[in-house]
Amino acid sequence: MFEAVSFSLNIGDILQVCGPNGSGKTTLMRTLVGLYKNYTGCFDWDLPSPPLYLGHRPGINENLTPRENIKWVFELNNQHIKAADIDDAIRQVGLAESAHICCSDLSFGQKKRVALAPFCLGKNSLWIMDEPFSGIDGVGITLIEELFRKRSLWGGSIIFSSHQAIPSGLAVKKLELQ
Amino acid sequence: MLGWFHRLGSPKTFFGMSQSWPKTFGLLSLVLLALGTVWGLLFAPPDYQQGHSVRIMYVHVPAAAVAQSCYLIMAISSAVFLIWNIKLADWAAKSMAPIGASLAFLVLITGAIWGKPTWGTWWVWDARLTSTLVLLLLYLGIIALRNALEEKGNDGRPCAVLALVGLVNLPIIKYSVDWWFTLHQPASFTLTEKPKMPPEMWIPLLLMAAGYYLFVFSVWTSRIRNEIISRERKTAWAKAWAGSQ
Amino acid sequence: MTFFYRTIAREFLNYRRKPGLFLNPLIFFGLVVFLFVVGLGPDEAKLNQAASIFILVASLLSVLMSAESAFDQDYEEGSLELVVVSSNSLLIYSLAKSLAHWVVTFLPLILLVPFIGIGLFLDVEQIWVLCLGILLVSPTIILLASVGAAMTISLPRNGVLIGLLVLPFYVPPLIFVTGLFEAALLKQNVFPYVYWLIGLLFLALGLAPSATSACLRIAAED
Repeated sequence: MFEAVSFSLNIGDILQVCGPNGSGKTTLMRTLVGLYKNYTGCFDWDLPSPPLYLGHRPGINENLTPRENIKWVFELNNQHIKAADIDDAIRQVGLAESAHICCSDLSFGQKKRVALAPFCLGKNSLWIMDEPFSGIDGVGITLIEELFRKRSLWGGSIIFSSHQAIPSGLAVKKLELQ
Repeated sequence: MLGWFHRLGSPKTFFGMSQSWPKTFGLLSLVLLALGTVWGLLFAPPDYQQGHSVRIMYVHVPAAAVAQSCYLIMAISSAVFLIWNIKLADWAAKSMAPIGASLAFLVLITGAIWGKPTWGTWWVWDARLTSTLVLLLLYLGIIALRNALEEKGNDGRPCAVLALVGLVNLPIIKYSVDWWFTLHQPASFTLTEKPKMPPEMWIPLLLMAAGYYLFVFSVWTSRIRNEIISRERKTAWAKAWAGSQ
Repeated sequence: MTFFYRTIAREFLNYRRKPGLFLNPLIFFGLVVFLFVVGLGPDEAKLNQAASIFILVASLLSVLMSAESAFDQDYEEGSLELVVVSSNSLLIYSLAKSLAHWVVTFLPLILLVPFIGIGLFLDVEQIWVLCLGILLVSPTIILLASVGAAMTISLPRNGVLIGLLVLPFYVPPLIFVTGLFEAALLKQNVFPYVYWLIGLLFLALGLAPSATSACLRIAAED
């Protein structure tokens, strides 16, 4: 596992954590959101709200519809989101036709999109996304890039992990794990 | 105090410190057990009611006491692990579970052997036998959970929680089983009432109990040492130690 | 508090979408009671005496089954991680889940008891006592099952293991409920048993949710 990692992030920065398999990308992500405690070191940040997190397991309940799932994500953070906004987000991730069917009927890629939908809405100032590009098609990738662009303009920061270079011309800081 | 605690909690320190423990305490316990056994089986007086069959008491009663103590020690180790996150305490709890389980099993077996001549059957649903059975089941549950966790590469924290839940529950189970026993069976004969035990009986009993405790301690430390060396085998000090052996 | 209600609402929605989650254990419960009866034979006095044991043991087994699915889903989907990240209280979360679990398993079960009681030739008073006993003991059963389910949440195929871990702890509830029933049968004083059951309930309510939430945190932070 990695040792001695240090980085700093300004408002609006996008940080890509890259490295080969087993280099500890996921562990770093989990450490940042408090899901991994077996580390030494510190990180100190001043966040108005908890970070919005996308993990390996996307946290989508199979028996709920995309709408209900997205609502739950915000309820967890005690944020109230209007139904119209949720529908708008579902449209943005291209699931307008599936908004009302149970997630068990969606494909893996579609579920991933459901998990991405909260990122179209939230006012969380930091996103932490573990492998957001995996299991998603070309259209989805452009969608995420678009999200990133908007978010950094808006002044939110993003930390995401991926071992592949993202194609578009986003200003991305890189953190290489060995 | 806490500094000392943490030093003891370092596997390397403990390993160095405990080098001679298994052997020393093992030998000492053998001496006590041999003494107690010979005294108990050959020289102690037979019971005026039960005759010679009472001699199994020298194996049975200390085992019962120690089987329960083992649980307490395991639960304390688990609590230390949960509170201070000392890995050695987790390994200590892990090492204790099979010892406690085997002792509980021994209690049940010797209880059955004792039951045959005194009650006429191998098994009676006596309150004590029943709660020992529950104790054995608890141990088995903890061992099963540990195995399943290790297969997945997880540490023993759920196991530690289970040990503590069991610690709270054991007195309740014991009490409820006593209740159940008085409800279902007229109290006819209790094994545990030994009001006037002569010194020729309780001294060998004491020797046996001390022997059991030392034996458990010796096996326990040797199991912990095995655990340490197999977990730390990739570290420099463990390799150096293995080379020196 | 809103988090508590929201979790319960989500649980109910989940159960409503997938009724098998609580209906199957309920049918399983009925089958176990049925098998006990078949094994014992149609003798009225015998059935009468064993009624509380049948119903209680069958309910224990069915609760263990449903507890497994109630918690595993959250872990596998990753919802549990989201709860931990959002820094909501896992204690409240596990309490809410247990309450929902109680409502979908024991409420219908208690409603079933009178019918089963008729089948076992119980009179009205005995049925009342049995319902009271199950009402008092059911939260304890649910809470203990939640500890077992949370402990084994990260392990695949953990159903048998949950039983192995939790069943020994069901000795006291079983003894006090059957004792209560027996006392009612013999027209003795039932209050000691009632007090004991209430005591167990408060103990379980005080300790089990913290054990459950500790295990959930351990699993999420794995």
